[in-house]
Amino acid sequence: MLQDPVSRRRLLGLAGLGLAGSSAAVLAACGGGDKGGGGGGGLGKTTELEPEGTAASRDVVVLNSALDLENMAVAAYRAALPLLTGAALNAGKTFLEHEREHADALTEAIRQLGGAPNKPSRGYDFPRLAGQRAALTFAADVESTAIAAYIDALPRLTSPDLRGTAAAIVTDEAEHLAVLSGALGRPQAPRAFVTGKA
Amino acid sequence: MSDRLSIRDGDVDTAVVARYERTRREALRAGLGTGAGVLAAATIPGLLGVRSAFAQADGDAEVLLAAIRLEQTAVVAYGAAASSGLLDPAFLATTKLLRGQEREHADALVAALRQLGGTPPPAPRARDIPGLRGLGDQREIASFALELETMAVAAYYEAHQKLRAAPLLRTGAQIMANEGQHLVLLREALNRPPVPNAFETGKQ
Repeated sequence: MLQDPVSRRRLLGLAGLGLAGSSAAVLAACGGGDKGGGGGGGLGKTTELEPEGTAASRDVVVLNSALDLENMAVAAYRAALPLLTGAALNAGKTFLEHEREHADALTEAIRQLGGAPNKPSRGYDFPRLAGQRAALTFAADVESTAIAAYIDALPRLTSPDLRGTAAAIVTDEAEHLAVLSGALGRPQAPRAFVTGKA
Repeated sequence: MSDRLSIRDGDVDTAVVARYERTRREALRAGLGTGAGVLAAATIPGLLGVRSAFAQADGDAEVLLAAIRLEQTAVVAYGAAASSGLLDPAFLATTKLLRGQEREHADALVAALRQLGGTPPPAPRARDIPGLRGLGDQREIASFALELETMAVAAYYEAHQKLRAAPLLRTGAQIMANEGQHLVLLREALNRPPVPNAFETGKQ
């Protein structure tokens, strides 16, 4: 999973998130290109850096980066759906709706904290998908990227309620990944600790 | 309380469980599910003891202790299911996979607890897990496991509002995500929608 051309690095770039080094854990400190609609400054700050701003403003930074990923996921499923049939199509429709719900919840949380939610990008430079298997593989890569980012970001959220919400979302993404893996003939729960990393 | 409970298609079929279920739903409707959480998730009354310990835990060491008990319970329950002779080969393989992963969770949590200076609790015995002995076929076992995993997800969901150490939060999220994947396997085995909600909180 996450081999070129659909690498995690590329997906994070598509979502407007930077990735320094080879670990998603470091992406938090990176500015990243703003290909998405908003700030896209990585999912918060690393523990090695001194936090800046109020707790709410730090949470807004993390939530906006998560929102960028969710908006990318919505676009990814919309790109994948025309290539899916049968049970895979039904799953894709369900997961698209879930990603929309995640984006809506994050948008609302950002507003409640007094922040401005990032807007979706007008377009993403997704790879060309040739057939159902490629579409499912792409969706699985998007989900893995989101899982890695959420797990990295979760401890940086200062609000206990938001940490719970992030945990509920990352678990949902892991469930999506299990279904997609099953459709691809891969193990659905290959590891006891889901990291989103290959 | 009888320990010969059975669950069919998610519906409880004993009065005592039905009473708990009514209470749980009423509590959730009243908004108690998020904060207190004690009654969330489990429709099997005996398992609520493990669940309650988790909900009442405070501080990283206490949360770890409760999580270890929960994981130990899952290891023993899956072990009993695997040796029951009631499972077809495919579901037996799933059960063994899940037992192995729950054991990995427990081992990691025990190591984390020891780093905090804590002592892990002894593992429960199968006969001490209410409801386990009364399961009569694969479907009942899968339903029981689904309840157990749902309860685990709910417990980890609440743990994320209590844990303070960043490494523990990450490990907790990795485990909770894996429990969610267990839910997918069990729901598929029961012919239920594999991912019914956008937010997996373990609260139905």
